[in-house]
Amino acid sequence: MHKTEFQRRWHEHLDARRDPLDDQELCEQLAADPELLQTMATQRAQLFALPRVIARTEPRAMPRRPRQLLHRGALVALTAGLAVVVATVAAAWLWPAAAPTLPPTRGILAASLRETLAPAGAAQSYTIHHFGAPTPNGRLSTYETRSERR
Amino acid sequence: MRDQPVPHPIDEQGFAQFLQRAEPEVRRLLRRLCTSHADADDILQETLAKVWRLRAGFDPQQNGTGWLLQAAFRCFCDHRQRLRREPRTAGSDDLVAPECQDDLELRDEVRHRLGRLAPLERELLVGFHAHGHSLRELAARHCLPLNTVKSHLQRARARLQQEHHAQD
Repeated sequence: MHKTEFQRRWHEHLDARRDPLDDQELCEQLAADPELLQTMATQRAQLFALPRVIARTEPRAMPRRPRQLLHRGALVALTAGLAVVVATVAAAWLWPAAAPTLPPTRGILAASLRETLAPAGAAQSYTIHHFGAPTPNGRLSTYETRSERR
Repeated sequence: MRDQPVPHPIDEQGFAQFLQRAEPEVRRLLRRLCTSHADADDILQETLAKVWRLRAGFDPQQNGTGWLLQAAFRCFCDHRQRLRREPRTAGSDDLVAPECQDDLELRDEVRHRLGRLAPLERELLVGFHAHGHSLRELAARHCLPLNTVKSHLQRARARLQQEHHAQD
């Protein structure tokens, strides 16, 4: 058998995932040529060892199926949750709630008058206390003192 | 090997020494051929016994190691045929030998030489022989014709063993 024919048949077996040593004619050729025997025996052993070498050194370079990042059920739940959030935000933006009732910020709600005793002949003095509208911290109050001639 | 040994004086001590010197190389070949080191050692013993019986046919002028390797290979082929006629049962003594130094050396060789292949050749070789992808899958993946993938694969296999010979 010519060397070219030998190589063609050898690789044909490997491409078909057959052991070339199952081919009787190839074995006869190897038995007749010790140098070819050592070469092809080494190649065969190297190729058979390749899966073990790759398994130890690197992961699969070409995964057969793309991995799913999320389970189908989780994906549905996530989509539903997002839809609820979007709907809530949209509703709040389109129909804002009525502003809460706040107490009046202006005007005098109450007042008191206290006569201040003054020396005779002096102007009459009095103080007016203003009680303003309630604030978050309490009730605002102011006062003013007026005086008038008797 | 000749079936009828030609009688001529043979130095038995010299022949025994020759067998001792050649034994490691023959053992290495058989361990690469066999899946089990136990089988390889058995075949080696069978080979040595056979060539000792036929030592009268040994021609010192020829390549003695080559002659011994040929004898070992024929014993290996006979062993394979015997296995096919009598399949082994589970739990027999012929279990796959545990990983030994030779296997580790072979794997180191492969790992080293893979790194020296061209990227495409390496990808195709690993994809086909290690990951089990078909030739058509590889051709589609790399957008190459099927015959081109086969050519690259053949070249990669040859280069893997050529690296081995470059270091011998």
